[in-house]
Amino acid sequence: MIQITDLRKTFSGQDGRAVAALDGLSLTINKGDLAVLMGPNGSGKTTLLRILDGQLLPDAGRIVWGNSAASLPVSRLKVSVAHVPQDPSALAFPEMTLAEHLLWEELNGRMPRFWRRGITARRLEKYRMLLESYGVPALAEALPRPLNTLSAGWRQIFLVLVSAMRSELSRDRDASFDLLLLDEPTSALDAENSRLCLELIKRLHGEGRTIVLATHDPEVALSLRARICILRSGRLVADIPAAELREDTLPRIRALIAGLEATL
Amino acid sequence: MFGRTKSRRLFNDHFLTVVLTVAALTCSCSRAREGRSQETRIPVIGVATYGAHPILDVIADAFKAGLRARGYEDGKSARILWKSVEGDVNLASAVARSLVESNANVIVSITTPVSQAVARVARGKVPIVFCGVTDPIGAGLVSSWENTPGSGITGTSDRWPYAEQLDLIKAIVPKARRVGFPYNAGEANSRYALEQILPLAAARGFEIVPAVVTSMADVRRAAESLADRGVDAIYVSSDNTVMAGFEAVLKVAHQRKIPVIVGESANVERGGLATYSVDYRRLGDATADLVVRVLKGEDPGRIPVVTFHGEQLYLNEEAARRMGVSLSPQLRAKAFKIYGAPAASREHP
Amino acid sequence: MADLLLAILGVLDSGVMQGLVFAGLALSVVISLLVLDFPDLSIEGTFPLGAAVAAVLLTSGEPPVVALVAAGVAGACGGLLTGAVHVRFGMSKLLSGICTAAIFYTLNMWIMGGRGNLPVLDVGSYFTWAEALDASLKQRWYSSLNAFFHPASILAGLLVVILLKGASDFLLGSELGVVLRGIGQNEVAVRQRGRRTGVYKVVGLALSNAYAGIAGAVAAQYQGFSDVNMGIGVLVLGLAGVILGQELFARLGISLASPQATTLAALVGVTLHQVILAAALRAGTPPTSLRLLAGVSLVAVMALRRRRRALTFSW
Repeated sequence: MIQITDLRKTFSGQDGRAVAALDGLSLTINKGDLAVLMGPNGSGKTTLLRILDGQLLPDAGRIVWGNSAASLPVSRLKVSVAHVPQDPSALAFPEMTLAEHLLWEELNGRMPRFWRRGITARRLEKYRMLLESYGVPALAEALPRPLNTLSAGWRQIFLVLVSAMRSELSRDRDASFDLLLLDEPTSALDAENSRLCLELIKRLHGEGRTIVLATHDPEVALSLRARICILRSGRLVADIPAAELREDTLPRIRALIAGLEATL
Repeated sequence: MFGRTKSRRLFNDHFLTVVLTVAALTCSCSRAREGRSQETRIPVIGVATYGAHPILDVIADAFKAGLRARGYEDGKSARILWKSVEGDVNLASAVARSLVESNANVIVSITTPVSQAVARVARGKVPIVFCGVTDPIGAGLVSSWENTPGSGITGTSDRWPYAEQLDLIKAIVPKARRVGFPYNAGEANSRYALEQILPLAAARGFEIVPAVVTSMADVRRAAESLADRGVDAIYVSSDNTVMAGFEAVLKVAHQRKIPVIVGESANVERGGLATYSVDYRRLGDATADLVVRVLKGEDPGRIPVVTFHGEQLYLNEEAARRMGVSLSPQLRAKAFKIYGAPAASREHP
Repeated sequence: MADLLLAILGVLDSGVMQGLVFAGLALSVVISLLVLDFPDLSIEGTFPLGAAVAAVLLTSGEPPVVALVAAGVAGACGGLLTGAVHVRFGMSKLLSGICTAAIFYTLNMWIMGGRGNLPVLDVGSYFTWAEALDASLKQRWYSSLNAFFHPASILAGLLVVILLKGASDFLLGSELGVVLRGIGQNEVAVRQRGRRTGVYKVVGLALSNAYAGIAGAVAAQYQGFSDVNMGIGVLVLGLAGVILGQELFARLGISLASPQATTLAALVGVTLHQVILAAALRAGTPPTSLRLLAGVSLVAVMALRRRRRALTFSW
């Protein structure tokens, strides 16, 4: 369980005025949750994700991870957080093969050895089986190919998957908490690739993974049949549990977002 | 992705292209070889040079003129294969090999590294005449100035006439005891010069007072320290750092009235007092002479390395005035060229 | 016809030999530029450094293998300096390389005992035994031919190159190699993964300059001298080989994804470049046209290729 209480973060805007990205946000995410953060641009979604993965420190507020009492920076906690930013290729190595990307995750947090081969037959087999177990044999086939030979859609899917596999591949295996943060994972994809990506996310959720996903597309939220948290100006304005999602929820979400626009 | 057969086909095509290109390039020289084989009497003189450089160009022109004067004209009575590494010493070995394979009867190598590469490739196969090498013993080309029979190599050295230059100090400042020597210890030629000068100076009753500089900015300080230590003259050798800051030496010399003897004529023109200088035209001509002797069948190992005694005296009248020195009429009469003279400078043919 | 054949063989022999001598430079550029994305100018100082160290050791009677290893270690020190200056003081990549090259210009002179040039002519070198073998081969088999083939020397050169390539392939294929390549492709991403990049850059540069130093030692032994100015232009020399190899492989449709293919392409490229230079030298009727000829023939090789390929596709 992640308990977020009264989180605040202020940036200085272009004209020098302080802009509150998070303004007293409180939210609880349970283990195994799939929480969809929604809201217009500037509502604080990305800021929250970046605080959760330890890139940013909040100005005020507490985040309590599981049963550890203190609100330490993520890097000092035994938790595994994988963050796929809106443009995941910023964190990728275009000319390295898929297998090497997986090796990067495996090397996470330890010294690379110069006397050990990087991509061994054993590792390749392991990665192949892992990818096949996630239902993407196409990627298993492409393991020896450089990332930039993949189509944009498959690249996105692969990078989401790589982040999701981090806890399985690296020493984070024994982490007490395992969180996957996805920022607009489908915004750059066409309909078919979106569908594939969402299926993958559902599958990961089905396996009990804790996922926080930011999007501005209500269709994504609905097709995931997930809990929807609507943010406005750095605050939580609505928290709709997955069980309450019905056919008529979409207009309600749209209304909420439209209302947001009116108040802005 | 290419299929296997397609990539193989591409490979075959491309491999052919490479071979054809190399063949086309080689064609022109093989045609030249065919031409030569009909008139085998004409000797082939291979020249491996460093590239364009004012002094090297002077040597090259004098060398060609010297060959012509001795009856070896390019294209008629001899073939001169002129190849340049164009400033990249790492090409010297390839240049040397191409000359050996072109059946050169003698190879002329200009500058130290080129001569070493030629010696490495061609020694024992083709006689070698080097040129423009200051220190052929240190460069490992010959074991002594007298040379050893069977070494297969000889040449000309542009070693500066240190003895004559030191004598010149004596001629201009007869009472001179202490001679200042500013130099950069990191420069090989300066160290070599100092090693050469020390015994020569001792024989002439001079005490050499060295002053080490590490950069151009130190030159003035070094010159002042020499003046403070009471030197009677300053001798500037082939040191590039000191030459770069030569004006600073002159400034101190003018203030403290110390004559500055230099190593080559260009620095006399720049304001140095006097020098006996190597004439690079004579160097080229002497190299041509050696080539002809080797072509006529002389053993290069029996020809001593040719060095030059400075026979060209350069003086600077203006410098003499500002350094408080009077130049004797005998000296003026011997001068090859006098700079800064009130009247038009005199020049002996 | 026989003459022509001999000339071609001579050019190939000379070019391949030169290519093997400078192969270390190509591998050095592969590591610094292709792997680490670091245009490292310090090899203009570490190449002559390797030559100087080897020349000094050989003239004092050390065996050639010791000279090669010591040159590699000395080169690595040069790389450490570049890396340290770049990482510790935040100096730009180009400037830190320029500084190292400048520092080693003077240091190289000191190493050679205050001289700018040291001969490696009359001392036993790595190539001595191979050359003796070549000479006896010529004596026995083709003494009447005006031809100089150096199969033994080429084999000796090849031995070094195979060892160098094997070592670089192993290191680039190791876990460390994956990290080094990652830094070259996306340094930000490496930092995001919580890994410090500085120490790896230093390690990579040390490795790259060790190769440059070994190339310098081989070149000194092959050419017969070590000269402070022999570093001028070696970056371009290595770079030309690497790029040529890459172009060639790309056009042949050979994947460059693996380190083995990349280093092989660099070696093929540097050798082809030297063969072209040797051919240009043999053919060069106007004496000062070497670089022109070399440049034009490089373009010609590439242009011919392109036309060929266009034809293949249109059919």
